[in-house]
Amino acid sequence: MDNKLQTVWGSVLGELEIVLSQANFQTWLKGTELAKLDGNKAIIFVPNIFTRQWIQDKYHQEILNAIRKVDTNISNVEYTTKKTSVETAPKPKTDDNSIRMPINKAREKYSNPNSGQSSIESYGEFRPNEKYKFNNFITGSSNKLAFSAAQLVSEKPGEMYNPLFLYGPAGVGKTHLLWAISNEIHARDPKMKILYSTSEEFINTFLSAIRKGEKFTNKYRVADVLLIDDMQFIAGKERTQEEFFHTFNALHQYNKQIVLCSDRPPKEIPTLEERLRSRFEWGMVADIQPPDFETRVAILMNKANSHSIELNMDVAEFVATHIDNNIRELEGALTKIIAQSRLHGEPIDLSLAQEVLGMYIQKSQVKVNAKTVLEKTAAYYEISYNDITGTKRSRDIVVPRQVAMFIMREELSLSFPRIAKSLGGKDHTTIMHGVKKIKTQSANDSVMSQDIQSIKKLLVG
Amino acid sequence: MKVAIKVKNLLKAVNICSRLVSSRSSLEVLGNILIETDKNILKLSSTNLDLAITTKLGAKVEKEGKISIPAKLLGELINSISEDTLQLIADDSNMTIKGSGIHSRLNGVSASEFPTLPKLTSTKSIKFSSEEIKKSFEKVVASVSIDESRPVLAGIFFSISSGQMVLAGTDSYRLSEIKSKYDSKEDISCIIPVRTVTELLRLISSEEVNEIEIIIGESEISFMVGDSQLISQLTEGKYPDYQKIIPESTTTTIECDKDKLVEAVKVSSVFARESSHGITLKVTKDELTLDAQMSDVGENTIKIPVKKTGKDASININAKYITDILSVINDKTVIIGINDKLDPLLINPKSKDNSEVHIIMPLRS
Repeated sequence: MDNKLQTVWGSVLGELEIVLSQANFQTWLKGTELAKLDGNKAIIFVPNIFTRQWIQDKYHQEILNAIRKVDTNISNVEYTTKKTSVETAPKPKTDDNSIRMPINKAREKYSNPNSGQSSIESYGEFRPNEKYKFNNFITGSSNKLAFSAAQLVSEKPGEMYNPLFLYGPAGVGKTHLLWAISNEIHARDPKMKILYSTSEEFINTFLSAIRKGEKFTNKYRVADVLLIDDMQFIAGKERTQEEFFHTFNALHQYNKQIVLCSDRPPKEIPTLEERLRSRFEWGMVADIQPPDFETRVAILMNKANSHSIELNMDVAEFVATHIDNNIRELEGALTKIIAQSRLHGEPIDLSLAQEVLGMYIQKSQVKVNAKTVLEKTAAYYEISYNDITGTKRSRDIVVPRQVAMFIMREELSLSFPRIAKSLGGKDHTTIMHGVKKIKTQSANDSVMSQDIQSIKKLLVG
Repeated sequence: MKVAIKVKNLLKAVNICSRLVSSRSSLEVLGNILIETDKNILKLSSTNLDLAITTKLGAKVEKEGKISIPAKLLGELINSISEDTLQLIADDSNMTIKGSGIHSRLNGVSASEFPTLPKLTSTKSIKFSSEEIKKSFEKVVASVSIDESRPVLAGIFFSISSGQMVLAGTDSYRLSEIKSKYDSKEDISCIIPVRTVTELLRLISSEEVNEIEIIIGESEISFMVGDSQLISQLTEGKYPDYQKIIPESTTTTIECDKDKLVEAVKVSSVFARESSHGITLKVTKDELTLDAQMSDVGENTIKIPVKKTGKDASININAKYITDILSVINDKTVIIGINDKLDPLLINPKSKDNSEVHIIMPLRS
């Protein structure tokens, strides 16, 4: 998508976020995009027809006003659920491969290889890092807001969102965005003093300054742009927090841009001083979530492209299916596949990818036990685990409970007393009755048998 | 709002609407049911923002109005009341329920907070026998993917063109397709989310009507089932060009009794408990042999008589997929077609003559 559109929409969202309650903003505006600016008309993509109706009815005026602040030509806003000018998800190939072989799905969450973020000191002699730029940052619904905010910040440092606070789990692109901001600001105005540091570095510098009895403050307080990664490590370090507080105030007072990154939002960082917390939430707080499937595929394709390698869609899809939360791992897996292919002179295809990823993908030996059945059944019917194992006897709970009994009996071949025990010590005759009831019902009622089918599918994952 | 209403009508409507309500939504009002008068009827609606349901019921309306009430609360209350007729009196923020002995007041949320249901932009309308459409959908639902990461596969392909209706579902490992004659002036091709179809099937079961009407818009679909209307988003995207995968002919074709096959697969499944549920089908002379083994459990062989044409064959397949498919086939006799052991396996009910086709991708051994 066009960067300009993202920037415009980012600022509109920023405004709306202030006006609306958190729940309303999350429900109605998440996943919206500015699809097109066409003369005096703005076309906004909304994820579904319900959102379209609601936004049209309730937020139209606010959106129009916010857009007009950025682009005064706009007099008309339209909403669409069709992703026209927005990049579309990669289409599955339409040859025989689109029906793929069953593959074991990786259920294991990979441990984060918490590779220490490299950071550079960049006083005036900022060295741009070519690797991380805005144009090689793949956007999707998971990171759009953060991306637009970062762009805006790099265009007008200190003016729009100050501080900009980005948070999200490891390996989703926080550092990439920090670098992209630094690079972009540097490219626009090489005279800007950009200071990029991790909070750990900040702490160390602070400590060593104390030890040597030097004046600490100077170094950070002369920056035009201060970017600090992994802010969460400052938690619990009281003296450092105090020092940071003063640095922050000094910079903020002179409209110097501050960008912070953390693995969680300010309010969830334990033992963070209240005055710092409120300052972090002052400007813009944007989250970056793990990328969705399409974004992961796009990342792989882009990465392969930068290695001048043609990657088959089925290989990309395979890798993206199996590594699902961490971009660093995603790229690591691709690098491994490429290395393996060069080493053995084999083409990059699905079987090579399967072989290389074998070490990543733990065969899913899903252990299904009574508890899993209860959990999945409860989840399927959207009731709580406590309800299903409890004693409530309303229909919307009894039926799921009996379905769970039936599945435990049929699939796990558990004894009636054993099932009774797992359900919090009911009488075993209750179980016999429940199993029998669902058995007859599932034979006659297709809806019931489909429900059971779906739950079984959930069980084997 | 002031209305008088039969409890049994209200109960039915509340139960229909409650199914869509999720208590986990971040927006509180989505856990509510919208109750509103429309001239001389009462309308109840609920939505989870993927689909919405509206159901009408007869009532004596004395004063018009609307309010939204927490679905769970309302459901529990109405389900346990033994009155015959109730009076509902509501202002913008709460509703009083009065019966001969009961008097309760429920806190609600103003109806203006409740999502407005999308207005349908289309008039493309088609009608179906509810029994027939239900049967057809049921046959393809089992093959649809439950993995939401590829939305297209978590939907059912629905098309009408040149006098034929086609329904298809696949999770990329197996596929089911139903064709039937249907004359319509309008050509239709869309993907309906499977969750919508499941709701539709439920609705057909509870509404007991002979005919349903489907209205298809550009990005939404609506089903009129008796007094209820289901509105859903259509899944955007291009459905995989699955036609190419369905083999036109097979080098091995067998005909066998469905019940015998069901039993044999069930027995084999005992020894196919690994994640792939793999069993081997071997066709020789007039016999189908099902082999299953698990190194730490044991192994099993079971044979059933079949009528074979073509050459001998052997193929590895997921036993669960066969069971799922056999459970939706009504015929007494099924036809199984096999080509190479890496090619898709075909299962058809004998009487249907390719108007009902199921295929399963084999396991690579």
